[in-house]
Amino acid sequence: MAELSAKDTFSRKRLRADSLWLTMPGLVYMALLLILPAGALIWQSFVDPKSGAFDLSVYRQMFSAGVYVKVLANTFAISAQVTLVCLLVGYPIAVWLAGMSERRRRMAMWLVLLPFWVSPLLKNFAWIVLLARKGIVAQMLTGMGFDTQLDLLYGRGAVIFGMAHAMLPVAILTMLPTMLSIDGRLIPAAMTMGASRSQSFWRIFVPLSMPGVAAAGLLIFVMGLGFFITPALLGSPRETVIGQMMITQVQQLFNLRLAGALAALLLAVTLITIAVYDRFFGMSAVSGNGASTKRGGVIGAIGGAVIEIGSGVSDFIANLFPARLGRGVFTAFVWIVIAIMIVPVLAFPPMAFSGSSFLEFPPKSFSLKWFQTYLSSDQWMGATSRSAIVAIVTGIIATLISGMAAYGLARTQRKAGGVIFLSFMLPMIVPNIVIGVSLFYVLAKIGLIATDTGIILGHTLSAMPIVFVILLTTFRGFDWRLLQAAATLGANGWQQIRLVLLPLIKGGAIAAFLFGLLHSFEELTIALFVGAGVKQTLPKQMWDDIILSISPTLAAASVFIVAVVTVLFVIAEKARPR
Amino acid sequence: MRNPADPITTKGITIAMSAASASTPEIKLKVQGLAKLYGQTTALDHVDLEVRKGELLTLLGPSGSGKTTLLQLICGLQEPTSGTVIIDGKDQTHAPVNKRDIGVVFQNYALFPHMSVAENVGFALKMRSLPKAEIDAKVAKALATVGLAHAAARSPSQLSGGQQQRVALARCLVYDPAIILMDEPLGALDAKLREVMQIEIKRIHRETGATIIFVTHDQQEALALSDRICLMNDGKIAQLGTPRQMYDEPQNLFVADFIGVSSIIRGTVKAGALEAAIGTLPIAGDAPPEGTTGAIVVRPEVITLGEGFCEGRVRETVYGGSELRVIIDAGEQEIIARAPATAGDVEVGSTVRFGWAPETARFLIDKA
Repeated sequence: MAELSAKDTFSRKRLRADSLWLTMPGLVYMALLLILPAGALIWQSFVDPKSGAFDLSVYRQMFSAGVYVKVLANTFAISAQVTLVCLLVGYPIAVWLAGMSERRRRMAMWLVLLPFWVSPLLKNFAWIVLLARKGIVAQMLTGMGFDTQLDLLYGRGAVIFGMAHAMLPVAILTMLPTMLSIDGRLIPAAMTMGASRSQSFWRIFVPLSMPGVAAAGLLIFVMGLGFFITPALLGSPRETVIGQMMITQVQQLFNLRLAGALAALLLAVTLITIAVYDRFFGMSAVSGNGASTKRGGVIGAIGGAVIEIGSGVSDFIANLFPARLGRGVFTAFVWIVIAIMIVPVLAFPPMAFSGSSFLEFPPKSFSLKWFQTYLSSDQWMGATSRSAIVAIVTGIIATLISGMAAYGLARTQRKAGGVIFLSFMLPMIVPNIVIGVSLFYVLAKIGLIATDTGIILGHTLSAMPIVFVILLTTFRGFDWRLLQAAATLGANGWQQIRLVLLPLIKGGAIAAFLFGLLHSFEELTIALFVGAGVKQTLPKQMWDDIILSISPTLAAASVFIVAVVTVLFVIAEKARPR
Repeated sequence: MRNPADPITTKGITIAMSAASASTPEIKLKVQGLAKLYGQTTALDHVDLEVRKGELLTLLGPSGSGKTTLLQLICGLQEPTSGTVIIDGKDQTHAPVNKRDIGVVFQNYALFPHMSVAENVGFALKMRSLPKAEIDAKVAKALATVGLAHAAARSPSQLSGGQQQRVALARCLVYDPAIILMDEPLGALDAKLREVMQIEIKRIHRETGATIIFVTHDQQEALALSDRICLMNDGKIAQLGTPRQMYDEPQNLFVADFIGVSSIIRGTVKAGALEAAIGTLPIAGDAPPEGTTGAIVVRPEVITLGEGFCEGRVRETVYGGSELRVIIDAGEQEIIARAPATAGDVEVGSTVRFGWAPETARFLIDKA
């Protein structure tokens, strides 16, 4: 008996050690394609290419020239403003979703998830048309008696709006889980003790939802720092951000040292932001392992004041107006925001079927000619088929590597688990533009630039976080005793996997694969650098066309992309376990 | 106390009128004709109930019997379909939760995780805008009452289940509400801790004189804690009375079956005795009319083994430390008896005679 139990603990130990090894391929991948290239890119910015000596000249150049400092300030200001807008607008939507019954919420979630999966490129492109000088929004505003010569596009306002619009679903989806984890009886409990509805909301719900708000704020701000699509499409030269500057340095000036310096700066700010966040809120709120909020300090004092003021004001307002009016205003706000989120997605088909030779909304005539143009163009068809192939291969590789790692991590109880989890999240933390430029720098040296393989390698890297998280959730939700049960019933190792494990994780694996595929299918930044203008993917082709000449062919391509995204996303959502 | 039906429920009006007299207890809560429908299903069917000041009343019943619905209607978390809720003489039927003078101990306590123990306990006072010094003093006193004065600065997550339970209780005691409602508050604790907390709740109840309505599905807990038990079934009150009345004088078969262990022997009345499958059984007191169907209810402890007017086969014996439970098959009828554990083994499969003194059993008429 003693012998048996000793053998048992031994095998369990061995299993644990074994399982953690499964994360190795993924970690090596991260090291080779993320840490090494980013490190190399930043390293060369410190080295004089001729003498090989340590040299800070590019940094001196960067900080002394007024234009760079202004771009830096722009980037931070825009990112901070977008973060604020996303949190303020997204919070009520998340509250609305959190307050629903499970069944209704599943339906309502589609309204947020669909815009989430349509890429910022497409969403911003739609706004170019909708917000144009004689566009529908300007016409509506004119009709309401505003100035007839409205310039809605190409300014700070348009950039903030477009970026916040692109990132709002991320903010909502990040805030929601924390709200859902709040014990539903706390509000009634507060009310039995004499708190009014608004008092219990401000004093109980708001503080408990803060970890999610902080996590969303961090995510949006960090994403915003490397974001360049909206400023490029909806902004004027005054709204130039670091991302655009990096593209110029790499693609037009071939100044990789300055690009490296900008990347170093971007990365440093990102890491400082994360460190500050960790100091005040703790990283656990992001990885979702329990909400241990640190209390006290400056943030605590500010939070306390906000809660006092908020509850006081809303009590005051609640006393002035009937409750039904307040609820009506809230509902109206929610639906207006959701309409704004969805509208660009729905605007593509009418634009694509237009008979006009330029993009307009609403269309004045119907024709299929733009689809014919799209389908008969070698350039568009080449980009489309390349994107499809790259996306499928990316989905497969990312699922395999992440699947092994997620299995390994789900079965370990070691402390290293947290570090490994964060390692797989790195492609989300490091700004996409930094990844793109680093890969451009390193892949050029080994001849993988302007190849499909290069794009696949890059896309696999950036698809890894989402694929990994879905698979980790799947494996964590798996009851491992089922395998033991199968073993006691006589199943051998392979039979346990084939007959018990695989059927139960199938849904999660399919969802992970499809989301990885979708991510690649819509990815622009990495394709922009690694494709190097030779190997065009569909989003890259669209980007070029939007920059050079906007034509209704773009709308036709957009309809195709939205259709693919919608179908795959619906399948993936249905497959995903909950 | 011949009539186990409590006079209070039927004569509520007269009592309300003479509330000032010292002999009649003050009524804290009065529920009249309270009903709740969910679509077609009746969760609560026109219930009348009065709770006296300072008493601990349990709402007992199987799940789906309407006890939680009744609790939610009393504290205002649900709106009744019809009927009234009167707290301290005031009609509160449609008052919002936060305007009723009630305290609730929730099933899993619902302590605010972002507040310290002291902040949790002081929350209701803060909502009533009491001065800080007064809040601190009251919180300290309430925490002392539940024996947690040392834990004021801790966060609820650092406390054990029993301690969290005490905090939830202190959170209600501190503002001295008219009624404290407790919704299966001991359900999450293990058996040993449950017993400790039952004694603790009894002590706190005695010391504070609070009026408590305690919801449970555990009849042992109800018997141990209550001044009175309100047993519910199918959205109605099956019986209301002291624990002793409920056990010794059940008014219908549901009560007899739900509270304690009993053997229920069905049959028809013939010549002042009950004709049952296992024989003719004596009925104590005035015999019901000829032909009445009903059942005789016998508690295990009154059954004597080895002699008596019935015979059966021992199917199973269950050893329980202080006693030995003996399950006897008398034809189709199952009889549960009890023997002292010191009496030695009763052999399974052996035939045994048994009986009881007629006045120790009760005859209950079948419901029409």
